Amino acid sequence: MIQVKNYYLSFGKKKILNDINYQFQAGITAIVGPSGSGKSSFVLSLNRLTDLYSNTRYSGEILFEDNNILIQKKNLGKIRHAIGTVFQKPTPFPVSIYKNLELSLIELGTVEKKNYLEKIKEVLKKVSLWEDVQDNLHKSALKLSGGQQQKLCIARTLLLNPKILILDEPCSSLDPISTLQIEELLIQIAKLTPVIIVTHNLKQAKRIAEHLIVFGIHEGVGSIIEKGRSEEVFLAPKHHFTKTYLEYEAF
Amino acid sequence: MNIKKNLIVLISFPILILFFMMISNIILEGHAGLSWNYFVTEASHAGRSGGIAPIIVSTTIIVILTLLISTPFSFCSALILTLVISKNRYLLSLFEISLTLLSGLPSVVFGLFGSAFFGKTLGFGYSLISGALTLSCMVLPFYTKILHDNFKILPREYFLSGKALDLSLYQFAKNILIPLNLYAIAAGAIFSISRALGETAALIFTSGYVDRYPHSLLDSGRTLSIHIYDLALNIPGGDQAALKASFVFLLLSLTINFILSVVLKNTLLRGLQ
Repeated sequence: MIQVKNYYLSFGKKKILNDINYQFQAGITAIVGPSGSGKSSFVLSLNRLTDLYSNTRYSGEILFEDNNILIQKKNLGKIRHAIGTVFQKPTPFPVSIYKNLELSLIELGTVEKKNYLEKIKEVLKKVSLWEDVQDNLHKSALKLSGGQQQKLCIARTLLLNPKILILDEPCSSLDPISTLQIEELLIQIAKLTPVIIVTHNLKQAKRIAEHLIVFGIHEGVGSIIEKGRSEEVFLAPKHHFTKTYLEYEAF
Repeated sequence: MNIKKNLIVLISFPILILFFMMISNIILEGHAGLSWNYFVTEASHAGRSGGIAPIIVSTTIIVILTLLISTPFSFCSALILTLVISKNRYLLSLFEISLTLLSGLPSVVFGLFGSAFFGKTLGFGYSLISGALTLSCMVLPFYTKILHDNFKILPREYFLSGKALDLSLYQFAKNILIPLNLYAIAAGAIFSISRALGETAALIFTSGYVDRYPHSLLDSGRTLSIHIYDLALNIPGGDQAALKASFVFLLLSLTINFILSVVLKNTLLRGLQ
């Protein structure tokens, strides 16, 4: 599992995160908090995707399987395979559905080519997309609906056999039915693989999460305000900020 | 409102008149004496009579070569700008300014550069390849700029997804960047073709103006634009032949545009709609 110790992050001169400490656990961990509190930057840090932004600077430790990934120079690709990421905006690649999934298998490199279809069928069934697309595997993935596209992106990541799955607001652009389907899927996945989900939807966090992290902003820099088991935080928040923030759940 | 509208019509009117005058002049005077023979025979008397077959061959070779050279180079330059250089803001703006300046440079400057570098230093002399390389240098800045501007506005999630799946650069370019930017690549390709077709100053110093068939890529050849320029300015009594060649030029560019639009609509862009 991932353990974060004294993690600081800044983009150039702008500080983003301040002294983050957290030990992730099995099951679903939801991260909530106001916009700009650095939730997304935090989850992208977990597999160093923040390196893609310009002038990224960080300090502290992020331990994954006893390695501090912040000082790792080689094999970042392996880490990104092990800690899979799904993004807010569904980004199926502008090629066929089959090719979208095949790309993951090519990059993984451990599956023989003749078993590709088998693997792809298996993962599409897992994300309950097989029924919808089995006749259109070679049609463009851009023709799918938003919910289906996001499921495809989850399938693409699952093919890499991640040990941890990160989702950055996966349902924010989806309709309620697709959202519920993806939540069910996440609960299924979380039985085997720990899931970390950033969400703006407090009801969603309440529905699916076992652990909750609440981010807040102090002088423009994000930090963890409160953390703990989800039901405990929802029932009896310790921090006054969490209290006011959670009250908005009614809306 | 009415005044503004009339003003716009008034301003655009002279442009329309000018356009129709040029076109009608070329069509009315140029089509006379045009026959199949004109397209399949060589020029004689410095182009005053005879056909333009070698010139069409040279033009086609130069246009295709330019397209083949400039497209991959521009794509790779734009890719490097987007993925590597964009991490340094100052370096990126330096490159962007250079691209803008270079795309506005007069073509004769490229012609002199091409003649010195490709012709003398690399030893290609007056040749089709030397001309095509010079034209590629000429279209490269703008082509790169078109592609880079399009890469910049792609949602960042595509780059993040590519990194998250640890896609190789080749797979990323082939499956994501090229399909997503077909419009931009098509725009750049059309720009290259039109620049290559219409260019004279850069080619006079590089591909030369010999009006026979080119024997190889290292041989000199005359494009249609140079043929027209030469007939109109240098050859006494070449006016009629120049108009005739202009008419062919008009037909050629219309045909290329037509073919491109049909091809683009039916094959490349269908997957994106």
